Amino acid sequence: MSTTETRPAARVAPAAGPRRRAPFPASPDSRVFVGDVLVWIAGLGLGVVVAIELLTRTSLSGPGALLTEAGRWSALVGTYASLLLLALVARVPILERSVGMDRLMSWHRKLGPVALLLIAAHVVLVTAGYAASTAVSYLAQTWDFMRVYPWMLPALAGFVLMIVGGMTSWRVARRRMKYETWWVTHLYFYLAIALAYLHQVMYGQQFVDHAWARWIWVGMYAVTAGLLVVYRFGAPVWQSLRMGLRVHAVERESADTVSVWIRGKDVDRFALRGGQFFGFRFLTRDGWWQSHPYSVSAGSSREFIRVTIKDLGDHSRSTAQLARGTRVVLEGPYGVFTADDRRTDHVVLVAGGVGITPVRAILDDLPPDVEIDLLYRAPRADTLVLRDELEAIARVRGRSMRLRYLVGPRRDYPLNARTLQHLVPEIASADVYACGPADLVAAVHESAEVLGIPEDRIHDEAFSFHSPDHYAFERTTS
Amino acid sequence: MKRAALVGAGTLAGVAAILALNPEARTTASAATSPTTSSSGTDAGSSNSSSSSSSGSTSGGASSSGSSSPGTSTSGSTSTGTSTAAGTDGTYTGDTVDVGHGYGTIQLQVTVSGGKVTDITALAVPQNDPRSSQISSYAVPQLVSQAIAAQSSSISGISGATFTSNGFAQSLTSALTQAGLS
Repeated sequence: MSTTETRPAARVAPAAGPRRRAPFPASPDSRVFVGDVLVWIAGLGLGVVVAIELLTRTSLSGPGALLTEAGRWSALVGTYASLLLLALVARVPILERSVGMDRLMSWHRKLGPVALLLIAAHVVLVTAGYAASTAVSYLAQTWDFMRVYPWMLPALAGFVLMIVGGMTSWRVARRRMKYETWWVTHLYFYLAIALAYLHQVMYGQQFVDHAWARWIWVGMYAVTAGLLVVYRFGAPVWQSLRMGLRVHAVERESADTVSVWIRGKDVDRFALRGGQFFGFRFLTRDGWWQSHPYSVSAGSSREFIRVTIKDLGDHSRSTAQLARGTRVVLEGPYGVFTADDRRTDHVVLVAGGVGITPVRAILDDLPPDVEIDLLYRAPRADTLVLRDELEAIARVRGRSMRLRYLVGPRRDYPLNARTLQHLVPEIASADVYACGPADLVAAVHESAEVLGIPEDRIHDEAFSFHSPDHYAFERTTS
Repeated sequence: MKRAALVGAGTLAGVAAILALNPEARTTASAATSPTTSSSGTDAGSSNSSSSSSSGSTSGGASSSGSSSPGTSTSGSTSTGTSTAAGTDGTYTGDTVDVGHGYGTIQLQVTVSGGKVTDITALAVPQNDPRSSQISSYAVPQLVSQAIAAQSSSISGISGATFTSNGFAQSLTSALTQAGLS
């Protein structure tokens, strides 16, 4: 662990002077609007796919023709869904800004099984349809596909990979498995989707004699691949290398929590907002291939980024041993849990446990004239991380900030509407931010609704912090 | 939910836009002007009734008269040759047979030499869609071997290529009849 001399002082005064503007779309209203437009575009793509099948379908009269046709529909829609699934996790900035990663992840989880089932239906239905049309057995037809169509074998291999990936993502299976195991099998989906591609354009009834349909299809694949290459892989590496990001210091905050300072050139180019997080990739011999989400715990500066990490998984434990100078690749910043969404000049921040880290960073983005009530819940006093810093900030802000610790068992401080109103009498006219374990966030959200606070003044990002579930966000609210 | 409605609206807009543009009609129109292009885009319409004339003759040296009805002979050009006890030597072109279901047509040319079938050439094979082409490419050579071995159209056929096998036998029968071999 590094000594504290090398540690830059965390800023305690509110942000002053010009900062980099938030990227488009910036305002809460425009973000909702852009999100709606993007959702509409996803529907548009589905419509185009439906039209392709409507215009290119063949006779339904022969034996098995209906089965085959049903199989073609499920293939087209299932594949379109697969491409959407990739786009949802491609970390496209405009999507991240307008929808937010937690919701994108939730959509990805809901759409995933649908796509998989449709593709499985395609395999079953088309084989059954072809077998019926030539009056051979199902197995003979499967063998025929492999023998007669050269690109069918890769497609079958891709399908098997999809099944494996799907099974390991199944909630029940996933709970019993190491995060790393799940992650590696999930990577197979890239390969699977690529393997299945050629049998579509080479043999697909929709594409072989219909150049226009083929170009649309190729275009959809190209756009998806482009998004992944540019945003998921290219941008983080390029940006991190250009900024020369390296570990500057590691500091223990409590028995199970450490802060890591990252140093680089012009890191303010990230236009980081307090409350956002990065995917962290420490380029060590055994850690480089994994990316983990950690919340930034101090507002942006030109040179430093600080994250505060709770010791939970293998990865966060090894983080405590990071050597100074270790290269870092940052993906992000992500998240819409920021001060940008504030609609009033009074904010109530509710933090549970290590959920304090994004809340701490949000403080840096709040102008001095904003009224702040910070409620910080923790089971024991020694688990209150960043305590000195929070108290320093409260001193600087003076009477406009009230800092309150809710230490002790949960039943002493049930986070219901009554307690919240008792602690902050004017809460009904304020913005409420909640971050922490899922149940805390759900309780605060529910209470805020009971108190009549409109949805656009309730801000939360309920994900299991630094847990083995990592990027798997759980949206607990309505 | 509002966003579900947006997806639905987008889908309808997408379908409407493509149907309004109707790229298929353009493809078909261009196919009509260029005789070499097989336009299976018309399959959706025409092959619903497979008894109607099959879509334009595909490439691959089909007979000059492009359209035919199932089971009807379109050409019977016969080159006369030496007559033998078994059959008349020469080249016989069998009927163009629509194998059905819009897969395409098959037409055979049979060479009789020394009173025996020595060679069978396919002038047209089902290839209206990639699957039919694939089936034809592996099934027809095997059917040819079967027929030359059997010296008749009583062949066992190829599993997985039932319709092609049936059409093959029909066209072969008509050619063999002309040669006096059946």
